[in-house]
Amino acid sequence: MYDVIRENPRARWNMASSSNSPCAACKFLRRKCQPECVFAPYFPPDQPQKFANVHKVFGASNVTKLLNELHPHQREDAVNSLAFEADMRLRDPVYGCVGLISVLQHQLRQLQMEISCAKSELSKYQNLGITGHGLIAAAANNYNHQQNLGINLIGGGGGVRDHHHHYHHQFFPRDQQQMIRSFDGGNNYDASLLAMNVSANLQLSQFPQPRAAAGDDRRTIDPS
Amino acid sequence: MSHSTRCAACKSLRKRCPEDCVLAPYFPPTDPQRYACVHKIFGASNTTNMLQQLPMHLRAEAADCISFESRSRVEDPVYGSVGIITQLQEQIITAQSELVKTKGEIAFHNAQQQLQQQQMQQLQMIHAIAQEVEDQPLWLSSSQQDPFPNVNQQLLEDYNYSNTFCGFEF
Repeated sequence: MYDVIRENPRARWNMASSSNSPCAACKFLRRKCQPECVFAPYFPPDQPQKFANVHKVFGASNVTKLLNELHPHQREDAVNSLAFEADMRLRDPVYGCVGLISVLQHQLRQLQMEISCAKSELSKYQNLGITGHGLIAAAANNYNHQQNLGINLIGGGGGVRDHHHHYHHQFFPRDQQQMIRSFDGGNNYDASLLAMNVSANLQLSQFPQPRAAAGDDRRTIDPS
Repeated sequence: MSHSTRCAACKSLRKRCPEDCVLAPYFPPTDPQRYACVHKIFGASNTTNMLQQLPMHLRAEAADCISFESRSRVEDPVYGSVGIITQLQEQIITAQSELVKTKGEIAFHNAQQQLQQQQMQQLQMIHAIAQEVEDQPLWLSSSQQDPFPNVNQQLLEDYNYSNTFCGFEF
């Protein structure tokens, strides 16, 4: 029968229970790893560099004191954060992880400035949305007064002669009537778009629908 | 030779502060708390070793960073400076989301503006067509039609005269 231990004496050490193998800290410190070793749960033997870094920056005794002041359930996070800080300090002996903090703060400041600029640009659009009613109404009224159109685009003009009303029924070819109907885009917007304050689009939904019936089909724009 | 007043480190260690004390320039006795945190987290010998490995012109900054890290660790024994890093990362993620959302809203409004411009152009076209209709002669739009669109007006008068003459009674 093949005797693993005889053939490979080192296997005795490996085949022992895992709790007997020294942790990375005790291996580094060349001491016997006691069962109650405070480092053993957090410095496994397969990660020797982790303890080496922590020891170099903080020292074993300081880490022991730190861990002893914490609850057991906090120790793993504390060890991992200490290992991270030690690693950063060894990579950058001047700034350590403060260098990373500085970079992140700079990045955050940049983002906040960009947000601020974007929000001010957005507010311009939102303000234009409110006053855009007046702009489109004024443009349409301008056409209305100057050219005596039979069409009432925006009903607030009041300068249209009554007998022109039937003109737009008779003399607009069918394709133009289709175009007017297509301006009624307000009904096609869903609530999410309305919620984003795009009320300027609702202007063009106020076009009178061409109908055979006579009567006042003027509509007014809701200035809201 | 030694410093007239001991630095915070040598005071804490209760020893004489030599002239070439590595820590003296960065841990004055006026701020004992600064060194106390460093001593608790890093220890005197580790701090001295870290500063000694650096050129003189970088030691002040390094001492400030070591002091910051040790103070963070004293205030938050579990996460220390890593807690600050984590918080900043979360804030950055939130800010990035907000920026993307705001830029999306701007893009939406841009699209709306372009749509409005297109619609205004179409309005203008309709106005132009309507203007052409308005400019047509009035008789075309009324029920009266010109029965003789191409007749010479003089011929029409001659005809009327001849009819009148023939109807004269002797």
